[in-house]
This record gives sequence, structure tokens and C-alpha cells, in this order.
Amino acid sequence: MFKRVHDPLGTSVAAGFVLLGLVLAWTSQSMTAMGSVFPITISSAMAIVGLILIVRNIILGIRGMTPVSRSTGEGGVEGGSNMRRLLFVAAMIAWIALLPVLGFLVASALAYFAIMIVAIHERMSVKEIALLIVLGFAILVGFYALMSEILLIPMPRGLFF
Amino acid sequence: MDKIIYLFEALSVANLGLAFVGVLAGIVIGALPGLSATMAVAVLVPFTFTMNPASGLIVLGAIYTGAIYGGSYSAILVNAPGTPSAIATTFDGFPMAKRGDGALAVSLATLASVIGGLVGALLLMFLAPPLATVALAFGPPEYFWLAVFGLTLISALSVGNLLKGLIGACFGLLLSMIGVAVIGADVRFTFGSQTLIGGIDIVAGLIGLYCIPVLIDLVATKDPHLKVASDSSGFRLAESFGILMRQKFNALRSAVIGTVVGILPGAGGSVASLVSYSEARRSAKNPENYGKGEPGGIIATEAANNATVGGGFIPTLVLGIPGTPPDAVILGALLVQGIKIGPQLFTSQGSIVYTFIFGLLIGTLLMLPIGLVVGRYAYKSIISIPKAALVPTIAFLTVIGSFAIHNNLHDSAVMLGLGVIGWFLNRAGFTPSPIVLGLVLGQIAEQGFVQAYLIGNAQQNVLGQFFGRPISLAIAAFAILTLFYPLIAKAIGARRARKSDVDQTVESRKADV
Repeated sequence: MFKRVHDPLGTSVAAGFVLLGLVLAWTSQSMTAMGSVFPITISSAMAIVGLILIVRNIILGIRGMTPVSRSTGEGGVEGGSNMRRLLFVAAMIAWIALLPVLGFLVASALAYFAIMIVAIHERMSVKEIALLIVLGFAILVGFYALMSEILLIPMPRGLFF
Repeated sequence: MDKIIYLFEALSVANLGLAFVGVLAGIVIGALPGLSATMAVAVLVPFTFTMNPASGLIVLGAIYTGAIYGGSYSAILVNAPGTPSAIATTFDGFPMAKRGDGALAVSLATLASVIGGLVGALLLMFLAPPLATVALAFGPPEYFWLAVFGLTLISALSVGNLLKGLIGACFGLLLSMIGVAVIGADVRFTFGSQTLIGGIDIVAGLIGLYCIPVLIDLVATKDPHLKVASDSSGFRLAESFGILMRQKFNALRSAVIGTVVGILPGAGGSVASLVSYSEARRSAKNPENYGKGEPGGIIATEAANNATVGGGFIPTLVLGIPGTPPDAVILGALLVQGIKIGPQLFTSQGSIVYTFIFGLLIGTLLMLPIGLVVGRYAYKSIISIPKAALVPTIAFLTVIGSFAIHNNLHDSAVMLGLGVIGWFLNRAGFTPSPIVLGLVLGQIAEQGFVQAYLIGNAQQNVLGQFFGRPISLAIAAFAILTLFYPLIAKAIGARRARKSDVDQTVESRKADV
């Protein structure tokens, strides 16, 4: 049945928003009158618009309309390696989680070069790799110095620095 | 004349240096395809928090204007718009580069951008103060309706999908409610999490929603190996100036269109450049040349997209409602700085505003030499920066930037979480701009709504508060018109199509006769 729906991904996300709207509207009822009027209005509106979108997509699906292809670059880049996407997000999570444990500079260096490896698609010469590493350290140390010494932002310190 | 003193403040060595660095950084980021002006501002905004407000604004304005202009290089030289606002620049820029006029096209884009930027900034200087006087008459219901108007406009612009745009806007509004409520002091939607009690920081949310999805997609694909059209004919500045003089009406009209589109809440350079491009083609003596390398096309798009910078600052500074997506980021930055945005800003903190406007004018003028030199000598090196260096560096800036807002890693976690959610939603066709606008306008909308409701309740006339005030009614009418504009446009289009069908039938019959 789902195959016949126009834009199945958008429709299922809309269903998620309908559910979220209902849950949020329901939880808002326990708040004070002043605090709840806006959340209830907006979450109900979100659920209603989501429902309209779902109904519209089902009708379009029954009529046999297929989604138009995207040409403006909206919706992100199609294709590419999902494994690299996952590894990138994992490296980012590890980066933020390790900052207070390892200290700012060490955690950042590890994550920076991990992400660099994830972003390399083609074979590189030793000279290019050496250049990337030197550049990476220069950027890390440069910004660390800028933030901690010039802008005087207290950087997280963990086991190292 | 009393404002001249602020010109000298903007001309201080520190501010000039900041404008120079800002324009240069903006141009470099803007020139890289895939990185938008919004992203340039979002990634660099945290570094301005320690500056004084006027200098911070100058550097952000310079980055913004530089990035919008920088997008034109890639549009002209490699047929890949560096920023979405340069999409229409590819139409004529790349054909010009292909026939060996790349340098001429870049010089034209530079001159047009400077003119557009100057017109936008001058209109900001002369339109904003009187508008601020009008805005002093705004009460809570007007602010509520303005926020609604901004949200409907951005939803209507969501690439042919109004419903998804509206859902995104609601989602953004709900995100803005997380934490302790401004009115009523309820703790809302934190789901027991300590991290969320302080709410979602606007700047952290913006960095996440605008930067993380781009990085996730950048890492997934190979470096594009763009071939730059080579051209050794010099700057060709005199020739460009001659063409610009012949096209001065086109340039001025496009700059005015750009400023007006910039003023409309939420609509930015990409809309302005497409509107002015089609207007330039429509009114040109040689419309058939457009799309084949007509200089007028480049002048129209580049004058318009740079004019949105000044135009967008008008509602941002006067009303606290962002005119364009990068303004949303700048607004967040101003809130972090503790500046109270709104009509009083021009009277109570005039020195900040006018120093900034002069700074924006100076930054725009600096774009001429910097732009020409970078376009000629450094563009090839910028575009050959490999993703292996680009992605970790921007990722580093997002982490360090979101941390620096409150020296708190929770903000970095929120940034990343929202970024990943934003990537999924974008995949399903829910673009980030309506969500961001909802997040930014949430507090304004809620305060206006609840205060108007309370006043109405006290006067026992709630509906009168929302629908009985003339300014409110006018803004509400605009909001409704925007909401149904796609339907109205479709109906008009269908009528025109029917009419032209009839015309064709009539003509074919005439031909038969």
C-alpha cells in the first residue's frame, strides 16, 4: 500500500510530526494557562498540517502522481557513501563526548584527523598527506590559541590539555 | 550630519581591519560550492562575541556581503554556484567564461555587487530610522502577526512545498519553547533532561541546522575536480564599467528589487536574484540573449543578491525579525551580546547601529579591490582546497563555535543533535530555513500572542486585540495573502494558459484563413 503513496519518505516523516504534535499538545495540558496556550496551539497546528499533507500525498498516490525530481539542490546531495556519513557523525559525537575527558586540544586533534580520514576518497601522495597534517595542526593550535589566549574563553581541560 | 561622527568610528584601524578580514573570509567561503553565506556567518559568528557590538556587527556584515559576492566566482568560472544566491549568475556567467570573457564577467559581477551592496546599505541608512519611528506604534498583537507573516512567507518559499514549510515552521516554534517559559515560567518539553532546561540556544541551533547537514553530505562524495575556465585577459575593468553604464537602469532596478526582497522576512539572496533576473530579461531589448552570456543577466543577479544584505538588516534591526537567513544568525548573535533589538535601538543605541551601517558601506567598497584580486589570483587555489582539509576544519569551527557561546559543551551537543535531525528532515523535503525562522521567531511570536491575549482578556475583547487594530489587520492580510499566494499564482497561471491557448487557436485559425 505504501508504495502507492506519493513521496513515501516525506509522508512518513509527516506522520511522525502528527504523532509528535499530539503528544506535545497532550503533555502541554498539565501546564499553567499562560504557559500552555501557545504550545497547544502550535502543536495542534503541526498535527493538523501534517494530516493534510498525508491525505494529500495519499490522494496524489492514488491518482498515480510521482514526486518531481529535485534540481535546486534542496534535500541535500543524493547518493554518496552512507558509511562515510555515519562515520562522520560518530566522530562528531565522540569529539564532543571526549572533550571534557581528554582535554580540548587532544580530543580535537584525534577527531580532526579521524574526520580527515573519513573525507579522503582518493589515493594521496606522501607530500599531500604531510601537508594536510601540518595544516591540520596549524589550524587546531591557531584556533586554540585564539580562543584561550586572545578571546580568553576557558577551554575544557581533561586528562591532557 | 550628526551621524558623520560614526563614520570616523567605523574608519578606526580596528574596524577597517575587521571589515577587510570579514570580506576576505566571506569571499573564500562563498566561493566554495556547497558552502552558503548563511553557513559562513553561522560558522564564524561565535568569534564576534568578545568584540564590542558595533565591531562584531561590522565583521558579520562584511562576511555576509563577501560570501554573497564570492558565490559568483564559481558560478561564472566553473558553472557551480558558490552560494544559492548565485544560481542565476551561472545562466550568463558561465557562457561568458566559455567564450573567453570570464575575467570580464568576474569584473562585472564585482562592480554590480558593489553597487547592489551600496544601494542596500544606503536604503538601510535612510529607511530604517523612519520605519523604527513607525514601529514604535507596534504593540504585542502587531509583533505576533509580524512573526506569523515571516513564517508564512518562508513556508510559501519552501521550494513548492507549502505544507512541509508550515510543518517545519511549527517544529521550529516548538523547539523555541523548550526550557523555561518566558510567560508563566512553566518548564516545557524538557522530558526530564537537565541539558534542555536552559532551552535551545538559537546560535547553537542555527550552526547545527545550517552546517552539519552540509558536512554530512560533503563527506559522502568525492572532490568534484572542477575545471576552471582560464582567461588571461586581465581585469577588463574599463570595459566592465562601460557595460555597467549602459545597464545602469538594470543595475539600479535590480538593487532595489534585492533590497525589497531582503526586507521581506525570511526571503534572501536566492529569491531576489531570480526575481531580478527574470525582470531584467523581461524588460531587456534583447531577451533572447539572456542565458547565452548576456552581461545584463550577471548585473541583475549580482546587484540584487548583494542588495539583500542591507535590505535584510532593515527588519532585523528595526523589528528583531530577520530579513534573510544569515540575518537570523546575526540576530542570534546580537541577543547573545545582550543588545535589545527593536525600534528603540535607533534612539537608545544609535552609535552601534550607525557605526555598523558605515562599516557595511566600507566593507562593500573594500569588496571591489579584494574581490578583483582574489578572483584573478587566488580563486584557483581556493577551489582546489580538498575536502580532507575543508570538512574537519569546518567541523572544528562548529564544535568550538557552539562551545564558545556559553562556554558549555551542552550547546555543542544540542548543535550536533539538531544538525543530524536537520539532515534527516532535509532528506524528506523539510528544508532548514522554516525551522530556523520558527526557532528565532518563537519567543517574539509567543510573547506577542500571550500579551495580546492577556490585554484582550482584561478588556474582555480578545478577538478585538488580534483582529481589531488596523496595523495588525494589514499584516495579517499580508500573511494570509502569502499563505495562499501559490494557489492564487496557479489560478492566474492557469487562466493565462487558457487565454494563450485561445490566442493560439485564434491565430492558427487566422493562419488557416
